[in-house]
Amino acid sequence: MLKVSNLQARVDGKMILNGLDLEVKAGEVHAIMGPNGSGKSTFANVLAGHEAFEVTGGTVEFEGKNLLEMEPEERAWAGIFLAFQYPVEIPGVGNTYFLRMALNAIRKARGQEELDSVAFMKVLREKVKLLKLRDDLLKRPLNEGFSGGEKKRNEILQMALLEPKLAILDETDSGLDIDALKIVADGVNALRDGTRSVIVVTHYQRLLDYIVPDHTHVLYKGKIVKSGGKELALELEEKGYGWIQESHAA
Amino acid sequence: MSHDPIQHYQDLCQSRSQQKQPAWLRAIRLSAAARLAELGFPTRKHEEWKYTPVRPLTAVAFAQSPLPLSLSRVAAEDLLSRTTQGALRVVIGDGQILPAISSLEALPAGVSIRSLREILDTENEPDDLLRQRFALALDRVGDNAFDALNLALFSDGVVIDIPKNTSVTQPIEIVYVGSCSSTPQIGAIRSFVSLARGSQASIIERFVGLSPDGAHNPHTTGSASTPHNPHTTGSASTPHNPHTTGSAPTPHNPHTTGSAPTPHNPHTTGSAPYFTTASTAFFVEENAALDHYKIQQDDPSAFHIAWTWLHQKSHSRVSTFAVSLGGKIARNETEAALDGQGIETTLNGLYLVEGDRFVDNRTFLDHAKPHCHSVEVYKGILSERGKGTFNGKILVRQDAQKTDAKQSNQALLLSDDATIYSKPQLEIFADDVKCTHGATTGYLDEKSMFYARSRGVPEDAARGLLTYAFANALIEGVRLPALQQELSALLAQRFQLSAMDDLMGLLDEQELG
Amino acid sequence: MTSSTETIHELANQKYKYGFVTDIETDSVPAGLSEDIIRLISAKKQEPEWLLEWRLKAYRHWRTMAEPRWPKVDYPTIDFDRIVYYSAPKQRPKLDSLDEVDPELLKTFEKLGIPLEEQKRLTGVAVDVVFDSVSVATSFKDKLGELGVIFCSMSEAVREHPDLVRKYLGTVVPYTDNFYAALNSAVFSDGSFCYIPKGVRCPMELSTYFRINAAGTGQFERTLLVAEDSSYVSYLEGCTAPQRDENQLHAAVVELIALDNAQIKYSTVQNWYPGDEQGKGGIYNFVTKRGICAGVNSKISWTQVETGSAITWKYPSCILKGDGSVGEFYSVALTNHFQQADTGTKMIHLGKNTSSTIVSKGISAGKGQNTYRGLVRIAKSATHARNYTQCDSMLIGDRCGAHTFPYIEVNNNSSQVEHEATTSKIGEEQLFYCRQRGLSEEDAVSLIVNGFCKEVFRELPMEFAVEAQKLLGISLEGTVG
Repeated sequence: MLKVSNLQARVDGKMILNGLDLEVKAGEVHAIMGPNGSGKSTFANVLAGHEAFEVTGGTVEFEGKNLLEMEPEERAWAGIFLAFQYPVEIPGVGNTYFLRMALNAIRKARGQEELDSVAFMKVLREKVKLLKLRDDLLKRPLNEGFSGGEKKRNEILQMALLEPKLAILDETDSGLDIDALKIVADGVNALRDGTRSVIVVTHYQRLLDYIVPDHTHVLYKGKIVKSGGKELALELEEKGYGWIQESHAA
Repeated sequence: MSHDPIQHYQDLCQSRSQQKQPAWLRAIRLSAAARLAELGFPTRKHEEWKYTPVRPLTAVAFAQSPLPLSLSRVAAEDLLSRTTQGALRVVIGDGQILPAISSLEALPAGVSIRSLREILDTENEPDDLLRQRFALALDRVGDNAFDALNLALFSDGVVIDIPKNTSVTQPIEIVYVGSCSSTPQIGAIRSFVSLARGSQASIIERFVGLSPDGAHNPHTTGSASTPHNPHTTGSASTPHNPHTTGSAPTPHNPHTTGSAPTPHNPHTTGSAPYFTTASTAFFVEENAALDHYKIQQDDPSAFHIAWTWLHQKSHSRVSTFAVSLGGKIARNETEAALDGQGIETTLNGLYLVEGDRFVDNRTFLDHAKPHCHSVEVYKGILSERGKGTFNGKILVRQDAQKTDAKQSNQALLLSDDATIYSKPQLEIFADDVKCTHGATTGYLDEKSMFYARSRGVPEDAARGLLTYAFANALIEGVRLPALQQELSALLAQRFQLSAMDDLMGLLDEQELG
Repeated sequence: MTSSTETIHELANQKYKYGFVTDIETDSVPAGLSEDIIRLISAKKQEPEWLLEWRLKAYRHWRTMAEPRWPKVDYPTIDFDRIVYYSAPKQRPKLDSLDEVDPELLKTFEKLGIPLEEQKRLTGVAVDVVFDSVSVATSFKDKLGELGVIFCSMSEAVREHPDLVRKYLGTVVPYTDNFYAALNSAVFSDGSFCYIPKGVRCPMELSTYFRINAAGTGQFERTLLVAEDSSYVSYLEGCTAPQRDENQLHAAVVELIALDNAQIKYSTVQNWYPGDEQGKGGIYNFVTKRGICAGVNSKISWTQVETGSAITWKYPSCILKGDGSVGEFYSVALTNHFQQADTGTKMIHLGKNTSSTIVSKGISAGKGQNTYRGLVRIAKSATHARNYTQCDSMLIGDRCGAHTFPYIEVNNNSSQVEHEATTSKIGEEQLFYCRQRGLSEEDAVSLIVNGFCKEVFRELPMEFAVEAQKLLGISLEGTVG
């Protein structure tokens, strides 16, 4: 589904990704771990097409198409979803209104019929129920005045609604209590149907107790320096990143 | 008084131009006078003077004395007690430097502080830079009639040069003394301060008045015969100039002890108001840092119109704090031109207006280049029949992307007869900027008042406390300890506070709760 | 015309879809202004002597005045002698029902989406339509009449209700007020008149639709709205004009009077032709709007969405005279291409416990220049007055400008005034977020801008709010990319 080869990218003139390789097949869950500053968020943002991150080399193919040539919304239409580390607040725009607008834009791009209010609300309520979210989240302006946990849950609600082919969770677990963590995990697990894929970018192993990865990768200095199964995450948790840094330096 | 103010100042300029000076300067003076004649004095129809009463000022036929101000020893001591302790000091009396009570012994090497008048008197052609700066000054007059007036008439000024990478640790204080005498006096001063690359200095400009009441003056009845007549254009023929000897203003002057031989003595019979007009231009080069304070404590009958011009280059830092406490009509203008990247500018102001006084604050921040940061906070406390204005403009030019500019004016009205006019303006031509301004006018926060009172503080004291706290937030930013203590004490006295520390604690507690 | 210029022309036409010209015979007076022209206009309208005298006084006063140059707008000097001050569709002498209106005219209104008949009955909006200088049709008169509500053209009001008109005309905006108000007073040709009697809550929205059609014509309508004690009315106005290369002048005057406990809600969606993308043509919209809260606890609320006109110069204002009266101003002004807007409000607090709210949202795109100019004056008599002002500007692109010039004057110490203003660019992070969720860049801009304007839109009646959002979307076209 996703094939990243020798990806290089920089921000503000500073190289962050230095030849990253990754292949994600349909239905797989990949965890990308790494110390702070290793390039995890950069990678997530590059996949979503953030313009602040300049790709200087390498290729990214998504379902056979050159992802790097696509606009951010085209990537969304193609099925890529980024759960932001810091979801922005957009004052004056209702959360529900925004959700419908996004869903219909994607449906339209995919040649599906746009949902009217009634149909949309039905779908939305199902998802809200599924994720055990509170209704009042829907009535408020988009992320405005949301607590950190509420913002993350709202990201997961959006993901559930938009049903992406590839979901990228950028440190979605940071700052979440255990209940919120479960909601996030439930949302992701509900998405897993053997065809959809997930990239979980995280600093800690904690989330991986609930979203069990098929593969775990360690990102260090903009490269994947170690790959393994779910046990690698546990090993990392136990030994810390120093172990990787040392072995890599050696 | 029926006089034609424009004609009056043309006459003064004529006599000023007949004095010894370089030809180009004479030309500049005459151009400025012509500009003044062309503009006339502003009226309320003039947007920048919409709220300012100008007529009380133009109605007075101020005279420009050719003689320096003479001070008795007691008056001099009293005056010096009102200056900042531990500062290098230049004293200007009614427009002329008084070397005797100036104190510049401890100047660091390379730093020069000179009298503008001496430079212009003794050298036919002073350095080109000064000439350029005068040309710039003339250019900048625009439609500012009072700036034209100052340029036409200035009699002296201070020229300060801080060389490259030099840090002047002692603050430098310029003290402007205006005297209330039998004849209304105008003191017109123009100063230039240059901070070369990487240099650093703190400059205080302090404006004080000498009132004719006995307190500052033992000579009240003395030499009533003082030949103090500015209207005699021929007075140029009595060239009494103590500054001719050229040596820098070291104490070489016999006027200290009050035995003034040819006195221009303010302390005669009357107590006419004086008018101080001062223009100070600061040139702050790359990476230099200026900490500037303007403490305006003019006599309550006096007129005050002064400019602080800030020319900033890349990565320079300027912080200026204008405290306005005196004058019948006082206008403080501050203009900052941010001509370089990475500049930081802070323009703060505090104005306390009581009686029938009028304080007029005008600021203009010109963001011309990217990545500059400006913060501006003005606070006013108006009581009795005091009136105040705040007219602050931020211009962000098209190239000034990533500008971050914040402006705020907060006014407290303590009496029902007090008035505030506030005009915060943003003019933005670049899109990637963050600019905000806010203005609030009102009375003290009711919740805080209630809190203080519920802890047993009487209402008046609570009001005083909160008013003090309102102003003190700015005073706390003063980086010169002596000045900070002075201002803080002055405020406490003004708002009749004694056991302040305890009460401040209570307020902190509230914040925590 | 080459095919490519044709295409461009078509495209331009699409963008401003009200740009067509109606081919209709008009009855006009010669261009230029003189006492004779004023007499002629007055005679055509069979006006009483007092009104002619008032017009002439206004004209004489106008002659002594100079065109205001203080707004932050830039335009060539207007030649007031080249303007046609009166132009009316020629029609049969008397109009008894809509059936008798010129079919060409009815077609025009259909194109504009203002069906005067059945549809309006369903939506319950009474409409007065001003075409060039005169009112051509007013609907729902009978139904309103049963309640004692008068809603008719100004000309008709002068004929049928002369005492009311004479009592109130010029009391809020005297002819001496300003240059354009004086001009309007001298030459106003029609407009709407509205009177809500004591205790009546007007059951439907009253609406006037303004249309400039004829070339070289100025439109000078005058609206007068009086709400008696404890009455309520919501009034809407909309404006369009054909696309012409020349600039046309629109100098209207609106006066509102709210007596004890009365409430007036006045909404405008202004979509005059803004000129083309090169800044050619478009309406000069120089309008004086003012209301007086004359009675205790009365309320006047202005809501405006300004997307049209080459130049907009207007400051809908409230004089808060009655104790406890309330003034509100909600505004969205968008300038794109070469449009210029200098708009805002004046809140004059005279009565005790008066309060006012100002919310202004300015959006500048292209080379548009957008200025908020406002005055909040708290008189000494206005004890315990309050004002809150919020003034936000958004910049889209780096060739536009956003300016804020508030004046705040406080003359007593029991009042509180708060003013906040911000200027920022449309957030890149916000745009990226929306695009990541699948919105196109243009939709994302439109969405964010609509969110930015929400506080104002929610003050508009439903149908207008929808219209306003669409308009904003259309006006923003071509601002990104």
